[in-house]
Amino acid sequence: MSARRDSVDEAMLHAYVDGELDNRGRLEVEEWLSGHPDDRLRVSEWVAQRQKLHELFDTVLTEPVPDVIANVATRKRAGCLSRRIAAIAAAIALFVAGAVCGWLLGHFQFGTRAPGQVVAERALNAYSIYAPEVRHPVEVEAAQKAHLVAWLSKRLGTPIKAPDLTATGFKLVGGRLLPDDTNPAAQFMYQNDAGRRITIYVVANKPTRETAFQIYNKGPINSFFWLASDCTYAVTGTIDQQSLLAVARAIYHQLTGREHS
Amino acid sequence: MAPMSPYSGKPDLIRAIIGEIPYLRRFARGLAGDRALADDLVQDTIERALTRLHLFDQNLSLRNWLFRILRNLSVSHYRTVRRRGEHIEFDELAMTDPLELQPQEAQSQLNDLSAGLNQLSHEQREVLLLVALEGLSYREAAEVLSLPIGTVMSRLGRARAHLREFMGEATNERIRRIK
Repeated sequence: MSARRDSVDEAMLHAYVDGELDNRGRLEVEEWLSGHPDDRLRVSEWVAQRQKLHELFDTVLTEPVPDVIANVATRKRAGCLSRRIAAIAAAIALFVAGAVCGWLLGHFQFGTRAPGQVVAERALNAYSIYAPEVRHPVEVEAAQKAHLVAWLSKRLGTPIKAPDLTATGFKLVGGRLLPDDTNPAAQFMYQNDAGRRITIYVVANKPTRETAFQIYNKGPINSFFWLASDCTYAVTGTIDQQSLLAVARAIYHQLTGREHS
Repeated sequence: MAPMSPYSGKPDLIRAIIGEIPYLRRFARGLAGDRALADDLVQDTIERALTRLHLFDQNLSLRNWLFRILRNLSVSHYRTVRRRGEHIEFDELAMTDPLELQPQEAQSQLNDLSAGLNQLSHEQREVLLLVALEGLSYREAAEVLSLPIGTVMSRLGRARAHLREFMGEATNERIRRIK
């Protein structure tokens, strides 16, 4: 089928960038772009604008929601004054609860919290935000894998890889840069034919020792995490633990050439 | 509740609204530029949504319904400040002198984008954010903004062109100043 067109108007170029075209339209535009470098430049700059918008604002998604907003949604409807009093009371209660929890954590849990669990928690939060994203699950797509890996390696300050997981049925969708507290983190996303997604989350936080696989989960989302020589890894998904563990082993094997116990 | 509601009751709907807060905050941050103003908008949005749960428009997704409320609030806010002639403070990021900061090129471009976004009209900015940041289809954006789809597309086109022009100039300006 020839996709050649005599002209492609600007509206169609926008529609192309925004995923509004069907397959045929997409092919037509791609054909057009291959012969029109000016339009190609425009399109690539629009895509870059979108990526930069995400870089600029996606961190908001992982910020903790201010109490004042969270409380609005949960408090009972009442008059203005009593609402304000209720808000103050809620703030005091939260403060007290926070202090008690902090104390309890400090005394009972802190020592038992596995190294890397914080990373797994962030990986899981990032998964729950980006994995359901239909149109823009990644910043850089798998088509630009070499660029993606080079860019993330540069930002993390250590060479990282996007493992090939085709043997487990998962194909690379792409990846993105994320904040892990004060460190940059890389997130690679994979998808299988059934549309299930998993992510590999990597932080170059120079762990002091290597560890075995450990599991962290929240609701239906599981995350296997481990500390390697210079990075902490977390493999996260909503697939069952055995399948996810198989994926984690495959990743470990590819990264180190060794089998993981 | 309408019979088609995917939410089995009011508590369910409220829980779902809470789940949308991060997206509302992202959209608001882009619209308002300023963090405090953005969070005020989100807070007002949630308050308004909770008093109008019975008006939840089943033709929209919950998120898009909330986007619509937030956007309408931001429009009336902008009208108010325009009437008062009040100066709107933008993110410090956008105001930072590139020479003082001497950031890497990538960071500079983010600053340019932030500044460029503030140069757009409110009408262009909201369309660009809904489509390019929040990932809405043209039809969804048109529903959120209560506009014809053609208007959405032409505003999107103008927003992208202005932004492209602004960022090109900003980069040239920076290169000139560093030389």
